[in-house]
Amino acid sequence: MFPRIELAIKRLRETKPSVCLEKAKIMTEVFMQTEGEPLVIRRAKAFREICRRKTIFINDGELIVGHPASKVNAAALDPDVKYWVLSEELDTIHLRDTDQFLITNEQKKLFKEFIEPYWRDKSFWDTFISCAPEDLRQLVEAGVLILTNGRETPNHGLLAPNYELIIREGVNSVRERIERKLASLDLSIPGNYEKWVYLKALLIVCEGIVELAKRYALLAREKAEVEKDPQRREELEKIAEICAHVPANPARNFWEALQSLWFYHVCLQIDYNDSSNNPGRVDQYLYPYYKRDIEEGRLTKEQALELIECLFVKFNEIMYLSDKAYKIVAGRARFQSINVGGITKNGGDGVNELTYLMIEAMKELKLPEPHFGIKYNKRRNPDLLLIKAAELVMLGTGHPQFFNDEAGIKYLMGWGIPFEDAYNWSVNSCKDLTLMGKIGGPRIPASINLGSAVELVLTNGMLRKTGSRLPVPQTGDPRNFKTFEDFKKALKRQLAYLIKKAAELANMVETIQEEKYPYLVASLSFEDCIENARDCMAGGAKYNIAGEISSVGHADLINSVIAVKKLIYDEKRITWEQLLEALDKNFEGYEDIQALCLTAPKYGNDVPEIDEIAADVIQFLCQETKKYSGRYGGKRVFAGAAAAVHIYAGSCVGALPSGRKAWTPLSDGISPMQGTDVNGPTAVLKDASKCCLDVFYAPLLNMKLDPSLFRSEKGIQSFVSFMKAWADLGIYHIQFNVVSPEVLREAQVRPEKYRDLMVRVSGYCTYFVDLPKEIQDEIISRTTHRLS
Amino acid sequence: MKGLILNIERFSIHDGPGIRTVVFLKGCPLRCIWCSTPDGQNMFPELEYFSHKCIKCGRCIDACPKKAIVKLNDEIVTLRYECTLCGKCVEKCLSGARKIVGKEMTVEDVLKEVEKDMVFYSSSGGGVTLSGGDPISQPEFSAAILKMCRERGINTCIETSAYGDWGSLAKMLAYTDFLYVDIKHIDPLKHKKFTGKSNRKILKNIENISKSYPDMPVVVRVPVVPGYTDDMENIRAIALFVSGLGKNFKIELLPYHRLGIHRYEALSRPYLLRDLMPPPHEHIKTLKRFIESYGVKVIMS
Repeated sequence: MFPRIELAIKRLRETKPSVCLEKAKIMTEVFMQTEGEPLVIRRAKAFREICRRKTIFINDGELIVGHPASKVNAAALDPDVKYWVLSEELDTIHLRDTDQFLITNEQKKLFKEFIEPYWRDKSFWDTFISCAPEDLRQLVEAGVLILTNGRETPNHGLLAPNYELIIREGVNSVRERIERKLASLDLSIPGNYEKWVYLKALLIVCEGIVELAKRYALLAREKAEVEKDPQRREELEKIAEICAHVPANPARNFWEALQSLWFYHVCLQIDYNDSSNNPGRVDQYLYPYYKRDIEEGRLTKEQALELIECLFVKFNEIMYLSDKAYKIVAGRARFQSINVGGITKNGGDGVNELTYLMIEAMKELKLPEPHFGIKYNKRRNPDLLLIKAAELVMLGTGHPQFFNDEAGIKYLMGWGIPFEDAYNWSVNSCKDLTLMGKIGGPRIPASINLGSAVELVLTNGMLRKTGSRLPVPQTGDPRNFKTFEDFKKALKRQLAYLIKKAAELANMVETIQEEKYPYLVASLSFEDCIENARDCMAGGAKYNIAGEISSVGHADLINSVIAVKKLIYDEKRITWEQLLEALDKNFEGYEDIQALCLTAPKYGNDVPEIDEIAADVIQFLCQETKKYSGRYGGKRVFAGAAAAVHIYAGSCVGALPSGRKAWTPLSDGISPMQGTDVNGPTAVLKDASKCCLDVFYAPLLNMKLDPSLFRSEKGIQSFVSFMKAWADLGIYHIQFNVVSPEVLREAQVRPEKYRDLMVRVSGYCTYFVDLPKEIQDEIISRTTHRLS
Repeated sequence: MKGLILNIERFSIHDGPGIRTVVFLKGCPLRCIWCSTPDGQNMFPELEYFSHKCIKCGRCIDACPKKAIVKLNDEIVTLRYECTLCGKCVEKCLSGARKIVGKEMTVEDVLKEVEKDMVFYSSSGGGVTLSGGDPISQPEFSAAILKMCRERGINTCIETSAYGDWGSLAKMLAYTDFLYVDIKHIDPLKHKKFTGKSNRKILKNIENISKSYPDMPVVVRVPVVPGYTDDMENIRAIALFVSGLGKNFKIELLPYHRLGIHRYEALSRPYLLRDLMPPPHEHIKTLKRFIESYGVKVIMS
């Protein structure tokens, strides 16, 4: 490993995560001074002021510089989005079970006396609570409907800005573009004044970005002057030269391209401490710089690898200030997605030397970020891509996740996006699709808890957790369902209602997003946002796809329906009376009924009895969702949920006919219910493929594999074949955990020995020992597929 | 046509080329003392009871119409001579401790399972493998499965002891693309002592295969059981024998393992090698080099 990388990783490990209030302080000051000005101007001015005044630093040995907060592993508080994190946990945030943050007494004082008083009652969550219709609020509090991003803004990053544009053209050229547009605005036309204000705000943002880079150039020069080591002095001089040039101007070589990318990323993170800003297809847009440098002898492969590793390490230095109450991103996941592979504009193989170098870098670093995805196109990409990917999979870091390129293209074309754009899709956060600089947000406003939907049918509208009646249709006492059809009808009625409510929720939070949280830094690189003088969160992008209705508990829903059909109606082994009583008591004292429920066929085993019902229910959900339109046009789509939503969702749902006990996690994505997939990995893929209908958008599939698979050449070949079949089956996504349950159990007992053990929770990688026990247990309980 | 199936396992990568579905048939002509699948030996269904899974709830005792299950010193004991395999106790068992192995299936039933993984066979060059037990104990049924697979373009493989008459073996071989056959010991007396049968028929059949199917890829599997089959003399003789058979023959060394021990207990049968430990990896490597010196290719999994 390169010594400077070793140093950087050591720094990461040894620096305790902390809270940074610089941004909050400056933003509060600027907002106080600008009361009465338009919001976008105030935000832009705050951003520029932060760029001017924030603490900047250059770490020893690093070649790529810049950080959104005041030090490594510090998370900047966005006071306008989540001041309440500190209101609730000011004195305990350093004591959390997981995701702790250090905070000083001075910071506490600053927060209490200056920051909180200004922002109190002004966050997204405050607006939601004070303005939401009563029934929506109740359904959200009950966990039946889920704000996909919890109490944060509905968008939460979830964009792939066009980093390539910034690298290629430079911010100065973007500024000229904005000025041209400004000059062309006829202010006598209604609506154009708004645009004029918006473009003015973008200009201020451009100034901020350029000034920040210049400050780094100066700092590097200062450091160079006092540096004793001649080699490091030379490096610092080089860094100074680079920072003086990018991102204001077009990058001239590979190093500059990486630094330009990083500066833009830092600025996006300054704008919002989101968990998901996605640089996208880095191996594609960085390749021309790499190729030219190599051809002209300015760069060796080894140097390129070192620079890539320097960049990748930086993604890990950024911290995201998470909400303790909402565990969808436990384990400090930051979802900064980069993708390699896929195809080129002409439909050719997109795999190049950078693709492999980046896989190599991920292998060496073994770090959770960036979120590394391989877009595999079976028709175009070589087997070598899968073999190299297998080498990364077998390390057990949870990287990479695989995306089926053709499935992704199909989704986008299904939305009416032509191939010339669709081919270039990249991953948004943990598993969504997007187009760099072309698709706006918000993308995942609302989710529906399918486990709750089943529960509400069984209880005739009552929430087991609290025993209170919810504002949902009462579909009747199940004891009176004469036939399975009666049950299914009731279920569908409830599902349809909840989807409608989810659409209401989506509309509401999308409106708040647009009004309160423009994404100025991101919108800079959306050519259409400048042309339309409209933010990417306000319908200004080229494509403004309707925000999806996500779902959680796919397998729980199907398994529950099957169990009812089989046990009550087909085989008449138990009555509704017995089942309801057992569920009510969480199977305690009713172990035989639970055992019976568990013997019913389960999703994930490729047994034909399930297919018809599963298809019926999924298609129904998709059709219902399509009835609702997005804020900027288009139909909403039904999607699989992301991240660890299934754990939160499960904590809101009582025992289910599937045999699942109360409050335990639901199944994640389209993965089988934990521990019930007993027919091996091929059976899981077969069932997953049945869900990957064109209408069921971007579902996520997790699979644990035993490490022994990778110990022989035959094993690796088999993995390659397995992945080809996965692509043939049209499944959109898959990711693997390659650790034995024995190792995980040992890690629970002796966390100190397993500090670097990484697992994929659901859509993201994290350190196993950083996870709460309940999530650790859940990972262990997932079936590990051994090879016979 | 119906046969008796022990189990069908998907996504196997160690029983022939590519990703395969392995059909385990019940019934085996041999009784190797180191056998790791004793539940595959008999040609009839059997009750298995895994005491480590049992929660001693006693539901099975009440369920048994023959009163063949009793509690003795806090242990659940099945009086096997009374058991009619009616399955009532299995139905009532909450913990999965009781299970009946051996299921009647038609050729079509088997094919339905096998065809589920077609997409994996075509991506990997895999297919079906008949194993057991030993498919040779149900030759007609096995041949019917193999034939039907071949008609559907599914690659076929069998794992057999080759103990049986040539006619039965040839029926299967006619539809077989890849063959695994065992030589447990080269000495007929020792072979009889360890497996219950002499190896004369086996060696004769293997010679016949080399003559009649000169293009069939054949892997001769040799179990390496310390103190039983792993002496140099035996290994040398096997290497010599195989080297004379043809280039299509390879040897695979199967180190003895203990993963089947709990199955003996589950069937209430004694396990005779309770104290035997698996051979060290180094020993296997030595044997591999030794065999290769006879010009025979060796596979290790």
